Amino acid sequence: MSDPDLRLLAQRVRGGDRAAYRILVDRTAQPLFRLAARLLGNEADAEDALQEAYVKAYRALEGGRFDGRSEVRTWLYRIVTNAALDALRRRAVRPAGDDAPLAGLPDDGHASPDARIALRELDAWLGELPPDQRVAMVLCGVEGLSNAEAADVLGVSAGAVEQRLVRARATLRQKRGADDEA
Amino acid sequence: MTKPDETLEQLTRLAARTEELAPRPGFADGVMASVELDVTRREPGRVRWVALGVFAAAAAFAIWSARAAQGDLDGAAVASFDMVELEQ
Repeated sequence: MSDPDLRLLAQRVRGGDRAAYRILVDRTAQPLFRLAARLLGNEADAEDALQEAYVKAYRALEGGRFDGRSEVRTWLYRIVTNAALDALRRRAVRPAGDDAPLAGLPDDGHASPDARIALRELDAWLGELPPDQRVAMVLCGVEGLSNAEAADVLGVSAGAVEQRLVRARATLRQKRGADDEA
Repeated sequence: MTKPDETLEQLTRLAARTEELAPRPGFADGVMASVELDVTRREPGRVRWVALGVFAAAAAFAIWSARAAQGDLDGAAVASFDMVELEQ
């Protein structure tokens, strides 16, 4: 769905049209869920964070607090990323769990086993990074955003994003080097 | 030792393998239920403020009306006093 279409839906929500918000949720849920899952490393946490993000987004749209300066998609991306960052910061530091069984939601056949295994691998691989570095790696390395786009989502400078990426790569290289020697 | 581009390659592979991830069926229903609950939780506050505002407006009108009525009575009393004086 193009952003002009999302913008029209957002305007209708501003006028109190909840059916329009349902359509907006249907059109954006998959990519945003994928983002949340990649950020948080499991589907259960991703659903919780995404639901929280959608409630916040509705409040903002209904209350006229979406000023339209950014694209609706980018704005939603930002809300989801912040919700995920909050969830990551609340978590205790978890050791990387390559051998942990598949966690999260029961397998209802919606995502393939390989996708879920890959998600666990991603979580294990990024698990030791501090939240800010982890989010930067997911946005730029997995979601494919440029440093400038990630900076826009995170509300920081492109230089700050680059710094986080450099540190994250150094940590991951060190970790891989230690794993290879083991 | 892992080279920098191997990190990106690994991320690219994991990105491709997780591309199909999606929420469970019924997720959007859950979102809308949460939205409704959130609106309902916020609305009692709004209703209270609206009710207070209506009450305040009614009280102000009642006071104004009473003063206006009292003013009419005072005016009538003064007018009748003047008439009594004139008659005397």
